[in-house]
Amino acid sequence: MLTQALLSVGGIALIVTLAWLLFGRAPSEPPGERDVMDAARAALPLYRPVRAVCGRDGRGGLAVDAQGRVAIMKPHGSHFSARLLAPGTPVRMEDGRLIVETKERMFGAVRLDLGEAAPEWLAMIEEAR
Amino acid sequence: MDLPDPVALAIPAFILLMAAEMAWIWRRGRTAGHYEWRDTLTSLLMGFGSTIAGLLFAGMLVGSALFVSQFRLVDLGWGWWVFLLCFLADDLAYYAFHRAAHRVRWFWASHVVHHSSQHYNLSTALRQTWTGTLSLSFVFSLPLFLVFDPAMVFFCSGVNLVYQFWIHTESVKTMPRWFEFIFNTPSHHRVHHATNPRCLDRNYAGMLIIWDRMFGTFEPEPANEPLRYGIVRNLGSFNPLWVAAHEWTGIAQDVWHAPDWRARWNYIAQPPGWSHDGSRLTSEEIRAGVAPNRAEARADRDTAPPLRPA
Ligand SMILES: [Zn+2]
Ligand SMILES: [Zn+2]
Repeated sequence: MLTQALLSVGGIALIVTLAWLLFGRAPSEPPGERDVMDAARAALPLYRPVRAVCGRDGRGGLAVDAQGRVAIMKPHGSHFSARLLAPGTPVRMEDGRLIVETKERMFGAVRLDLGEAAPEWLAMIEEAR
Repeated sequence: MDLPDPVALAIPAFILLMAAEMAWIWRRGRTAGHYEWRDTLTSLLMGFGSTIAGLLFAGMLVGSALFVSQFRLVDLGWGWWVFLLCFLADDLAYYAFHRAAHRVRWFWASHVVHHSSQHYNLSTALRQTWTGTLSLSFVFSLPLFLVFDPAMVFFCSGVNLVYQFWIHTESVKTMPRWFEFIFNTPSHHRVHHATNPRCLDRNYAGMLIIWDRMFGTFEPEPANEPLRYGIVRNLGSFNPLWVAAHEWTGIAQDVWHAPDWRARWNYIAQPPGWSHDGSRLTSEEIRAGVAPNRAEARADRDTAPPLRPA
């Protein structure tokens, strides 16, 4: 039993290290608006985004549909994890970043580097119903 | 009869095959997306934890099996054909369990762990629940102990689990047609892990896909629609404790806030995505593509994001 446990732990270390060595670097082409749009459409059933913005560092993004509902894409490994923002979601600017506090504790706050687009999206989130 | 534990024997092969798959993907130049080390770490920790949980709660499983086998109806012996029958019966029991695991939120709360990765590779196969035995998911196999020796049943279900390892890959496109017709394959199981509406709650098979064909839950892999893996509402977390417990927490919250006892029961026994006020979508509704105006109406009166199914 002990040998088996050691083998498993060693195996985990080996495989995770290998995954990090082979695939750990950032992809050569960081995601863009298109990817945020696709991710929102794919992840949220019946949600049809009309516009999207991607973080300048490729980390995370926002989308909005025709009714003004805003969806957030949180960077999660090499994928996005999406949520439709509930009305009244707390949002603010901090050091030039947009901070969106989702109401789920384990999903947490998402920091977005949107550059000049930030104020417009901040307003959209505040107005979102 | 003393039979080996197939899962324990297979661990070195699991490690070698994962390394081989990674090397294969890397050599083909697909450096992004297929393995993500944090995702893989979470999957492997879930697998390791599930073996520990299995040992901790083994008493429940073995005790129930021994209890039922007191009432054994026949003694079929240990012939090869008995093994074959036992494999078939166990695989059918697996189908029943797996279907319930997607259609009853109580069982889903355990099984969702296996679906919680947004990646699909061999390491995803090892992303296993810690709460399976505790949530009594073994009840579906109990009838088998009326016919077969407990050791034979445990051996067969171990082999079934080991078989399911290799089908968690995008590196095998399709197998020969006769094989795809009878057995569960990477192609069939990719559909099972995909969240594309048409793929939801399809291909429950363990080893044999024939059960899905027989009971109307089969869906072939779409030819020109890329598959997206995971759950409809992805976690956005690699924390193993949260992966293990998130749906149980969700049930507890819903039961706590439910307006009456009927709703409390339904939050446990109805399919994932059921809600007392219709504010969420079940996989059936997503499959059917609920009319957009209905979804808008829901979003208006909902305080939480309206889309929270399996
Ligand atoms: Zn499943
Ligand atoms: Zn699977």
